[in-house]
Amino acid sequence: MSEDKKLPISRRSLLGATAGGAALAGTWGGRAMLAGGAAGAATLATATSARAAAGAEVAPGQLDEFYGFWSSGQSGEMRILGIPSMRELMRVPVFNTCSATGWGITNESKKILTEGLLPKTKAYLNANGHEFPPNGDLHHPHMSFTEGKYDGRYLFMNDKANTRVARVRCDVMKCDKIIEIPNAKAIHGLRPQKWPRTDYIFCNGEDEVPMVNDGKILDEPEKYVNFYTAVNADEMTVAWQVMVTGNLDNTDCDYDGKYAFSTSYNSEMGMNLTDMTEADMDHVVVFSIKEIEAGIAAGDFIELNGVKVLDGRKGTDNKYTRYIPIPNNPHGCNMAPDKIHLCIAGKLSPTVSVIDVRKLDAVFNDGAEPRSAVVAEPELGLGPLHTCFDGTGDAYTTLFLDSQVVKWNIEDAIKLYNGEDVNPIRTKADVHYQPGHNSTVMGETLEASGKYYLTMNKFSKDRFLNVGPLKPENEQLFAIDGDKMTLIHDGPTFAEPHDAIMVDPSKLNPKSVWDRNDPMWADARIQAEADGIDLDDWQDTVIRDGNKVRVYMSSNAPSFALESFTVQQDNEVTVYVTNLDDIDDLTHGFTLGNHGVAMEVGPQATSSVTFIAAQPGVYWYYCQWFCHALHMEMRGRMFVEPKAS
Amino acid sequence: MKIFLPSLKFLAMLATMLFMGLPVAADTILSKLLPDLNAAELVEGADGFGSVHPDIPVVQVLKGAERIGWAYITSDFVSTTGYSGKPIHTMVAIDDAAQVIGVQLVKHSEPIVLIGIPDVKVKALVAGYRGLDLVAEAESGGTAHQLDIISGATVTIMVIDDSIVRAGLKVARQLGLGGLVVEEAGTGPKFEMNPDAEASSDWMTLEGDGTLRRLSLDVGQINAAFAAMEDERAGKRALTEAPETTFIEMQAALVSHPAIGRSILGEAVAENIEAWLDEGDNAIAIVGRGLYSFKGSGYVRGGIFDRIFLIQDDVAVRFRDRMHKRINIIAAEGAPVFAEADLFKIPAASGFDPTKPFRIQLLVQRPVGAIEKVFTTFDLGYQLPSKYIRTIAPPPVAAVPASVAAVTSQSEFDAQQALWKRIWQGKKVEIVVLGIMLTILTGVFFFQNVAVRNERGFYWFRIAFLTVTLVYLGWMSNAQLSVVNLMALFGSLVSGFSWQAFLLDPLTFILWFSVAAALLFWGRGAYCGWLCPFGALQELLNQIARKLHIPQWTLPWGLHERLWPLKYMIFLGLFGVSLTSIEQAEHLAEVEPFKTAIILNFVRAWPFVAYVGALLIAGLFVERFFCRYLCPLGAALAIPARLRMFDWLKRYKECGNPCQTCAHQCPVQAIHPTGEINPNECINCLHCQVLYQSETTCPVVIKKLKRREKVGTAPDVSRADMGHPNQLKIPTT
Repeated sequence: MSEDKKLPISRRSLLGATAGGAALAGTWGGRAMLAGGAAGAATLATATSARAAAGAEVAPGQLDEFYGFWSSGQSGEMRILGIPSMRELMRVPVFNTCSATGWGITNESKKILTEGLLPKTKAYLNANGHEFPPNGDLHHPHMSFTEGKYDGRYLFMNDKANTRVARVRCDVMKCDKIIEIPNAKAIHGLRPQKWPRTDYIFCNGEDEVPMVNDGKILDEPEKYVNFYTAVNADEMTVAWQVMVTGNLDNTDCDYDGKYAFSTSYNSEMGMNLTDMTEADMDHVVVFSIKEIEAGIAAGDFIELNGVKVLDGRKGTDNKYTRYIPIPNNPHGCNMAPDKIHLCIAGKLSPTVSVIDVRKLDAVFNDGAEPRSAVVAEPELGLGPLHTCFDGTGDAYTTLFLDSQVVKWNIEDAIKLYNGEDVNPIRTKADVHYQPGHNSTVMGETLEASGKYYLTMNKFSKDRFLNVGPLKPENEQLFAIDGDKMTLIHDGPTFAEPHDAIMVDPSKLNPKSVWDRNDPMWADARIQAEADGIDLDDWQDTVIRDGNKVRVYMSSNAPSFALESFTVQQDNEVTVYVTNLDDIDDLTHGFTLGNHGVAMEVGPQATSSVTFIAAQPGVYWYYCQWFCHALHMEMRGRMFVEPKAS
Repeated sequence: MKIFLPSLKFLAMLATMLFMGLPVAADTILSKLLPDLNAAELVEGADGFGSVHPDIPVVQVLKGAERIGWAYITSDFVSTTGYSGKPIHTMVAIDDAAQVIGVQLVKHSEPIVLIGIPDVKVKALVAGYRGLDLVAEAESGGTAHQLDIISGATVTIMVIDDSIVRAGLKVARQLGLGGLVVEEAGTGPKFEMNPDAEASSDWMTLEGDGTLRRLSLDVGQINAAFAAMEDERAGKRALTEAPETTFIEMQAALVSHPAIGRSILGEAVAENIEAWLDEGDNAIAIVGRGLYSFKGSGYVRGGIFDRIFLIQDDVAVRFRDRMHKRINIIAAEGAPVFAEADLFKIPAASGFDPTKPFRIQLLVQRPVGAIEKVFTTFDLGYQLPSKYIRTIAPPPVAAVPASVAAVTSQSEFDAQQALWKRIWQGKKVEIVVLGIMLTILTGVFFFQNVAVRNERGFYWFRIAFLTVTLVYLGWMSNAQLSVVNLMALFGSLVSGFSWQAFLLDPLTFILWFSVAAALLFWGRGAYCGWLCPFGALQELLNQIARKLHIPQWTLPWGLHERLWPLKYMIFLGLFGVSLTSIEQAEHLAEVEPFKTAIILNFVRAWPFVAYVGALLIAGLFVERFFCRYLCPLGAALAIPARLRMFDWLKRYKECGNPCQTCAHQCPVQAIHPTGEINPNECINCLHCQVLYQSETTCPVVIKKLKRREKVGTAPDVSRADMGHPNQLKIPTT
């Protein structure tokens, strides 16, 4: 069958051939296989060939059109895919530990994983034999903005499981900061400020807890609060928090730098399913950034665990928040690139509520009825979850229960709301199955475009060869062609991407080799200077400092500068490996046998790892990233002399 | 064979039901729901329900004293399992012209409220079936009416629709309403799939000879169908593709026929599929291409395919995701490209007959609003070509070749003869196993003094035997006697006895036969203590309880003795009731937990399960609690057991006077303080016989041994005892 997989036809020619069938049938003649979905439909009755739909195929040696930055949910990492091929290009460990790169093993990664933890959490982890949380739940990766457009500096992401926020540097595609958010619990929704630039990362605390969660208040839900957090994106510190009523689900912000928004599915503050779904109307909370900053300046806050916390709860006469009623357990919160319309998906209500952000000034300042900001509320289908935009005034909303995506027009929805007889729905397409998030290329920026549509389905069921009870998710890519949406790719992914953004390659300039002055190994550099070692040159020195041994070794394919080194049993050994190869893609590694020690050392990078040499004997270390024809020979010995007994 | 066996199973089941005298109408949903229903709400102008029909669960609908129709619950007649996996009970009333005069959604567990569809909307839609003409439906095969669907509740509505029509047809036919009659069954020759038939390996040939059947629809046809609908919105949203564009081309083949399976799926996959199918199951392959998918994506929500539906006469099969598999590659040569290729299992329990025509109904939907859709249906008709079918030949093992082959020309008596013989043939294995068990048991009773000599060995033998009784006789073969059998026997003695009926269930027959024999030799214990699966279940659980150190309660003798008669009262009560109404008695016979625990494996309504649970829990503390005090079957067996001819259980004169060891250790406290064993209560576990020989427990034996020890220095004259009259006699006791 393998020869059937490559098709002599591209997506464009497929879509271009509008009258389709006959031309395609000729091209595909003589091959017997199953065609997928809509592309198969185009082949009509006479076709006799082709296993998979054409369209997402990127020929060997060709580059993808766009980057895709993927979350991985409970896997805890960020992934980079190519669009439209959906080929996985890279995995970036963030909240997880990584056997390949040594994330969570190296001193550099451990510093990032531990330095932002709160003392209380550190004590908890210590009591359980951990240095940092062993898991993470990474839902939403979003890029930093300058004036409403991606600027390619950073990616920000949340950890719902351990209430953390992380930053990934786009120049090296490595995580450089992780902080734990105090007070709030379970950071879910996360978005960078769009305008004028990403000064803040807005983060939703999903789980309700007592204001001071020290065990004095337990099962008294009426005393619980939720925290909305703004993180200073440059320093990765908490700027401020606002206490709110109801929990917080997804968040977004406007293109004016004035407001941020959060949906709440539990305005009832219920503690079980029945209570949480009881009210027909929940709400979206609107935060006034200017008023909050003024409140901080005026000292209208309390300090809680080192954070300035303002009170924006319902029923308080506060200037910071307004609550706009929305039916019914709303979920998705997406700002349209027209700078005007905010789309709130109703989840249990078949509607999407459209808020005109220009009307919010009146709601804040003139006491206008909060619902007056709602300018449309079209019925779209069952289980609307998330909306994305193509920059033409059309919106795409996932329908979880219907297993469909609906394409609709915002202006028509407003007309319908005003009583005109128009149908805002442009088209619906089946997705397989039960979609959550969706995206278009840079759809959350002013450069939204409508070339590809991505739907991230929670279930794949029967779409792939059966791999047992645990099945992959299914990310489906559609080509958008006017009002037609053509499914061009099914992409199985392991647990469990929630959200993804698609970015034009022109936004990014990743390095191919590290800069020797990179701050990633700043601590190693300080130590090397103290030990009189030049970290940027050939190193084959072992420093003995009491019970501590520091081994400095450079690596050039295919050898380590040290063929062996000797330590005493129970020495605390730190190995600093500097990869002096200045060659693209020549990554070395350092794995020490039987010691659980492994790390990636990128070209021109330094990595270090510390362990106690508790077992006497001979142990080999080797390079585990294939580097040379003599890669197997790139190894050396550590001698551990037994303690004199 | 695959086709033949299920029908045999069905006959056997039917026979068992006859034997046990279960009426068709016992325990109906109608009887449960009727007290809460109001005739006036169901049918306009009605003012009450009359009496329930004696044969089928339908009730008269009265206006004054006049009967204006019949009402019934759909679930009594057809499967109404919905989205929730639970039945949707709809009450329907039809008049003598087979017109629906009232419909009411009575009870359902569908989660439609959760997805935002108000319950009232569904109820209103259901009420709209008033006026449905079942005569027209019978003629059209259930498609004479327009299907209105509330989107988001597609499956719910389709199940309701299907159940109203098909249950209506069943009722109308059975009552002869509107000129409808019960379809003649079993008059013509019987057919089965011919597994020896060959199928072509070429797709075009399979299409040509009818192995594959096709439904082909183009955009023009679909647009026309929706344009013709009353709902104007349907026509407005016509598809914009050219009219000759393929909307769907769908083909189907019955791949459970081995040759068809091999040629379409390939040898290896066909083998896997055969393993996937249980006996009597069938499978259909459906492939499709075009604009429209026969699966869609909406099925994932509830796990029910809402666009296709198999119908064969009154049989309807809706496919669930568990009954579905993808086809990876079509093996037949020259097969065209399909967007979808899928396998669907047709379960044996549906009553589907692969040799008869059926159709796959395709539901085509068109959205007319954000959440509103209209629907129309098209049929893909299928009939397995005649070359794959043969008339039923005698089963290969039949000892009477002529009799079965000529099944249609047999007299009723011959047919019944043939039937029970066939059933016995089919249960060979079970019969042999039971025979072995009975032989072993007889041996143990006859040579009990040898059998019980090794205390440990005998204990484990008994545990093993009881395990076989519980698992093999009980759970696997369902051979559990019941007091209902006795009542049926008495009933048949009164109304005309026939061996035939009793021979239809071989295991029950053999068990009763051996019980009768055992009653003469040993009393009731042989059955109760060794062959009753529920008894075994109690005893095994109690043994486990003892191992877990659950405290055992010994009831004070006075109370114990007074509780004994309870079971006799229960039996006499049941017997009395059975004289007037055997159905009523059968209801009351639920005091026996056998049906729940053994026959239905606890898959039953919770009150029944709770009852059994309570009995079993009581049994953890008081061994065989149910046997001792409640079992009407035990009581019924104890009465004739008085006839027994022998007392096999040996006693010493010291037993009970003063020794109480056996009495204390008797698991069912059947030994009186005065020493005698009460044969009515004894379960013949032989534990007292183990003790009788025990050199560590029985004081009589111990004393004897001690005495022997004392005289141990003297020559062992007993060894040399050759019965010589001059020999010195040594007293032994």
